[in-house]
Amino acid sequence: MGTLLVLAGCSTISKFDQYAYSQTTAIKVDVLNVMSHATDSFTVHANEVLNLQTEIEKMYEYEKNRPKNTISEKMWMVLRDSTGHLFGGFVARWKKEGKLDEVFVRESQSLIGSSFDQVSQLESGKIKPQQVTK
Amino acid sequence: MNTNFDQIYQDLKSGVVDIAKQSFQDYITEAKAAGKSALDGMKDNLQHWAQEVENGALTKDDLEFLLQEEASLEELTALKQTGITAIRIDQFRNAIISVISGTLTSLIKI
Repeated sequence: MGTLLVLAGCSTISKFDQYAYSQTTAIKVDVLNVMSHATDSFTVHANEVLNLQTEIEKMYEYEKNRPKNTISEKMWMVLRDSTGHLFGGFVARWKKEGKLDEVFVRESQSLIGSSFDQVSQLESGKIKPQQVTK
Repeated sequence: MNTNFDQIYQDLKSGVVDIAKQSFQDYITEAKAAGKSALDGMKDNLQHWAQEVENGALTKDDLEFLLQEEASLEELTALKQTGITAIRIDQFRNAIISVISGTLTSLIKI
């Protein structure tokens, strides 16, 4: 019986975390909102972007320090990477070019929105702590 | 206590096989649907963007960036699928523990 209890305590991936799920969906809404302003000059929205990047950094740190959470951590790393092509890369391009075209912004919103959905879908699929001993 | 361990072993084996069939069949169905949906989405996007470049609504630089964005989205989708596989393994393990624990508990009446 002791062995079974030990095995029940082992897991391959982190359990569901309500805070991580809520923050991911909230940040997605804020990201899409900020992106919708990318047809304006970057300097007008620089503070808004900076605040949002800070929220994303906080979330990345939270995910990084959860045990057995490497996959979610890696997902946030891809999303925030300023040399990549999701939100971090989008902001870098907006900053570099000053403003972006409407069609490009709309298409990017769709892809980046779906990217955040991947993160929240993984979190919502995780085993809830109360399901472990059932 | 006269216990038929061979019978218990057979019951447990049958329970484990049933759990494995159910757990992984559901996963295979989900993974196939997710893969098809991703491919369909990618095809629709490529057709749509090609049209927008032709219309002049997107530049070649925009198109290149969007293609790389799409590739990054696929990377996240693959990471999510890897995570879901890990979740299925944990669920499988929990279900097996539950079957064994239930059988042993009823046997030794603890």
